[in-house]
Amino acid sequence: MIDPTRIFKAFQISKERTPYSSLHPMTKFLIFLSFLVIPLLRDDIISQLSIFLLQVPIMICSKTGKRIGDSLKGSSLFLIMIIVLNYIFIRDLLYSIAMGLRLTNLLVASAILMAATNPMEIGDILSMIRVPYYITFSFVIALRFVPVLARDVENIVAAQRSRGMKIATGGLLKRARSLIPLLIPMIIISIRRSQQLSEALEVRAFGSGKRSFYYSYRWSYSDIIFILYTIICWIVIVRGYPFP
Amino acid sequence: MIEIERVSFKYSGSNEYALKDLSLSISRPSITAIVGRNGAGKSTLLRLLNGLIPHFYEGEFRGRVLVDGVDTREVDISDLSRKVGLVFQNPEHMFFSETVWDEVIFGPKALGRNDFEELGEKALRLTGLTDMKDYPPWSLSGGEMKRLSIACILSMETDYIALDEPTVGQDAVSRRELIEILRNLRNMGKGIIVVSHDLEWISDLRPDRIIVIRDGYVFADGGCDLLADVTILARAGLIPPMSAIIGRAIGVRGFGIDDILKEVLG
Repeated sequence: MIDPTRIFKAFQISKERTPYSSLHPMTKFLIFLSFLVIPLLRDDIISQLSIFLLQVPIMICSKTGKRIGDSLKGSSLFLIMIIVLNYIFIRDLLYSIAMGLRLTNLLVASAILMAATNPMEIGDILSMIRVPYYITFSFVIALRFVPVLARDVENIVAAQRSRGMKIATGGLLKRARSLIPLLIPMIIISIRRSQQLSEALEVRAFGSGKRSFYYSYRWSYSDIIFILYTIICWIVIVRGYPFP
Repeated sequence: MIEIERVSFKYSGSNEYALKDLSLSISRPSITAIVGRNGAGKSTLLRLLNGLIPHFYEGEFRGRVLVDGVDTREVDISDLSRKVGLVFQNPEHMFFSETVWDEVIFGPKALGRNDFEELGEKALRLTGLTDMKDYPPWSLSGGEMKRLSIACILSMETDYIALDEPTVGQDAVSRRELIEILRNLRNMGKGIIVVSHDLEWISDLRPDRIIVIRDGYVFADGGCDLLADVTILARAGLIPPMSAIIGRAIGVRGFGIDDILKEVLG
């Protein structure tokens, strides 16, 4: 049974120490950025499959495989929709499947970064590349609230199922309609929370002047290995090796 | 009757069991209060009753839960929700309709009941929300929202109603009203299960039975006398309600402030 709320699972931050989690934040960002760009360079099914396989070692190193699997199961409805829509308009089945795989690759790249990186590190990366702090902060807060949102979704689903509601059964339209009792409380709770958060920030002097930072990161040999691997991935896909 | 037989449960991703070899049975009509510190396993225990565990919350589950003889592992949550209604701590998680009325009739309609209008009217009457039928649920006050969340479960006409921390964020008047609603429901033959760490309110509620949970198992099980037992409550990490302490100090055998006032003022 497909449960769309599973999509959030991959985006819940893990506190487990893995070879990936101990990397320099900039390395993680480069890997993420690479696997966001690489799938866009090719539109054939073999390249997209290769990119997926190239992400598997990173998935293993970050121990996010199971959660990403859950997330892919949850998003299968959207992936199928992408494939079907592409097929309707372009009439090329292999190309349509490749587009579905492209979305899968983008999802996997994002999920690896989100699931195995502390949002604070992501904020630090943005600060390193001179992004203004208020933008960095908004981004970090958005990421930090993903697990909170996931917990809310879990509670809302549990509450609605306790009221006799069935999720993810029947046809496509029925399934989409079954999401209304989940989406409305989620949106309203999120709006209320953002209002409370902005008030909390105001009373804690956010934006009153220049901030100080005290975290510093060090590069290690693992970073070199991961960066080299990413370069190899670029070469394999851009040059088309081993598939011309 | 709800029978929980030697249930142990560990949430997926957690190293510790939330419930450890827990056994108890709950009959109706009655009000059963489940008390304990934060993290003692009270809410997990509630999730067992309507099958959210093991159907929705993933983890390691041992033992069995029978609701009127039906094993919760063998039926779906939506089928169990005909028997056991669960009122969540945060009522906001339940609401999505345009009006209070639509919200109340959602449950009976989901269960395929043709008498949903009658059930909705009855639930609103019992919770004192009839005049607010056309209000948007999100415009209600905290106390009214809590009453609406109870009405949503009442309209499903379940034999058992479980409430998770019903007094959180409630003012004194709302807490009093809640006691009246729960007592009425017991008189109608329902089995009420209340989870709370608010012992002051529990002592005012005067439940038929109190179950003290500590570290995932039943630490003590008895009547309202437990509320005045400083030793047991202290060992469970709880502080006796002030009314019980005052009652004991002035020699009044009461559990709530009402009992003390009745005895002192005659």
